[in-house]
Amino acid sequence: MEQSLIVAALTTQPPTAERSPVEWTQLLRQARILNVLPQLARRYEHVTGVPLEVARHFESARRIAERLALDVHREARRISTALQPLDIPVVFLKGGAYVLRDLAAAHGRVFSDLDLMVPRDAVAAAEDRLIRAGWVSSHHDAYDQRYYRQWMHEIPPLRHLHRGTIVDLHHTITPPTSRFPVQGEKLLATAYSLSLASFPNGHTLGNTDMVLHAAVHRFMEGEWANGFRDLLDLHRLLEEFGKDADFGTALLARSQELGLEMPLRQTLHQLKRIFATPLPPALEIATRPGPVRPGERLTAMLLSEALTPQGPDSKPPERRRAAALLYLRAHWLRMPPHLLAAHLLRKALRPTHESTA
Amino acid sequence: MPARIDQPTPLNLPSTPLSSLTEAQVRERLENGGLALLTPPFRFRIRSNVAGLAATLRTLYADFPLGQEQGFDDFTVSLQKTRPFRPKVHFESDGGQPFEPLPLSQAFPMLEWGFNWCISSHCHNYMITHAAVIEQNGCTIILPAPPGSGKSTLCALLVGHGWRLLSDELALLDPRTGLLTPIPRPISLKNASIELIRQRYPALQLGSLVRDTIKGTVGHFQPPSDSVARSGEPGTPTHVVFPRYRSGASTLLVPLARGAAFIRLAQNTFNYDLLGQTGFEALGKLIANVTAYDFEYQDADDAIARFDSLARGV
Repeated sequence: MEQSLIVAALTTQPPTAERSPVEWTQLLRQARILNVLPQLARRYEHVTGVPLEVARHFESARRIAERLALDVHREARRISTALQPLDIPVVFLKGGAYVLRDLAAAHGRVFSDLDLMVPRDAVAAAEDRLIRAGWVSSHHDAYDQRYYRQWMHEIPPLRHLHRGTIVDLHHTITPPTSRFPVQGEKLLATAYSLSLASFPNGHTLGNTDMVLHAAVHRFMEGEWANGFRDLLDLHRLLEEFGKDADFGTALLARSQELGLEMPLRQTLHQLKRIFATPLPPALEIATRPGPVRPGERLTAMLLSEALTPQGPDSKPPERRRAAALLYLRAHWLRMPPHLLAAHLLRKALRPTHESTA
Repeated sequence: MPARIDQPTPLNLPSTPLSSLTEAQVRERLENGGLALLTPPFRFRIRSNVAGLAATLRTLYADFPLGQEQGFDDFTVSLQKTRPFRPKVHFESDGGQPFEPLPLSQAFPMLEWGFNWCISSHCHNYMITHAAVIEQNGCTIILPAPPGSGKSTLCALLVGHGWRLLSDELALLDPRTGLLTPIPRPISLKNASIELIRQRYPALQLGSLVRDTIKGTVGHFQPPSDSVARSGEPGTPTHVVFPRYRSGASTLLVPLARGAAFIRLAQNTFNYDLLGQTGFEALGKLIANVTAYDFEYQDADDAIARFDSLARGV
């Protein structure tokens, strides 16, 4: 039953402290491997009977997460202040947004980059303002610069000269060349204002868009080290937003409006399978048939393989194969074939020291 | 919630020392389920297919207790040899791979660096300072220093002379109690220091000697049995001494202002920034309760005499 230890501990409230020493070892190892130890630590924060040896690892993990949350608030304020003169909404995405909204998904969430979105026609001005405030481009290669600026939904990552913090500046949530292009204006129109006196321009996506972003991101991603963690985010978001009785219907309608039904359907399928996430009735009905078309079924199989937590010592070859196929698929979804071929050829012919795409 | 586990608890009951196993038995455990080794306050489960590691571990960790098979492991570390031709070793711990693979001959130093990585990146319940810690007559001295300052050499000189070893590399301070948790693992020396210590203290066992690492020649000495046996006794810090070895220097112990000592200790503390206010307060309390010095030395006898007089309170 090794496999479900971590899921049980993350979804049962309160989680049990009745574990054997070997089970505690397995739980801690799985949490480290899946990069969710701080989340687990938060779940156990007020649980009595956790052995001292284990409790100190939880304490350590909580300290990391608390420090990160503090840094996010500070950095968000600095960014917003730098962009203030432009008089545009500054929309924080993903982990940063969860922290700034103090959502349950933020509790113990660790991440390294701060993602933000601004109107497309303000990207150049925003980049300019951020450079003046100390963030410089970390990609110096001309091709990389062009790749991002021409084809992607974000500019190359900016790194702060002194603090080392990384900012990913977006104008929408998916590459315009991808199978699921989303117009940034539509997202900005329903953005949620943080209403903070210290940075009045601070926003996050609206609740439905936040879920859809996390879903499409996970669905198109080629990198799987944090797959389980991202799915856990979605589980927490749905748990929290689902308390609103209309949320399910709204999410479904919005997914149709933005053309993201398929990523949403696939994500919900995995959530039900792995976390048994309670879904609002409208979503329950929409996902009941599961993935039907052969292509979708294959994708679902690969996603299952890559997302299901394994025991800490098992590294089945199927999982590596699934990850490799999903990596290829991610590229396939990002660009039409002729652009992809040109891009991959370019990458292959050039000695790379930075991974970019 | 107490952060310190200095005494055995139901989850980490120690049993017999590692030296009670034969080399073959150690190897058998390394290659199969893993060798559960208690290096208080942590328990490591070590897995490895590297030949020769069993012998080195058995020498350097001879007095450390084995953990019970069904106990709790703080860290599971693996050191695996790959490729039959010009083999390299890979270090991994619970998904973390902090190092590039190294030549096979550097397996043991890599394991030690791996232990240090596990602790300094996962154990923020302590304030973790890059420092040696030694004790005599209740006089507990923190020796913080960047690499190359002669910290470990000084530590080995004093430990060979009878001081208790609390740590050669990481000072673990419990922010709640202000006490130092001992972690008396092997002492790591480099280059000329190895020969110096070997000639001076032939009884100190040199367990591993590796040439041509990025740090030059690296050797590890076995910690004294008495220090290992007393690893459950935390230390109350009394002095902070910043050592500096300088060729041709005369021995010089200069009192250091508290402000300067605070800043320099913070610079050598891995998680000072991460701990935020907790770190600031813990460091402030520590500095308020110790005497701080700058120490420059070259001559070993002089250096030892100076520290002995600190321990006598003169």
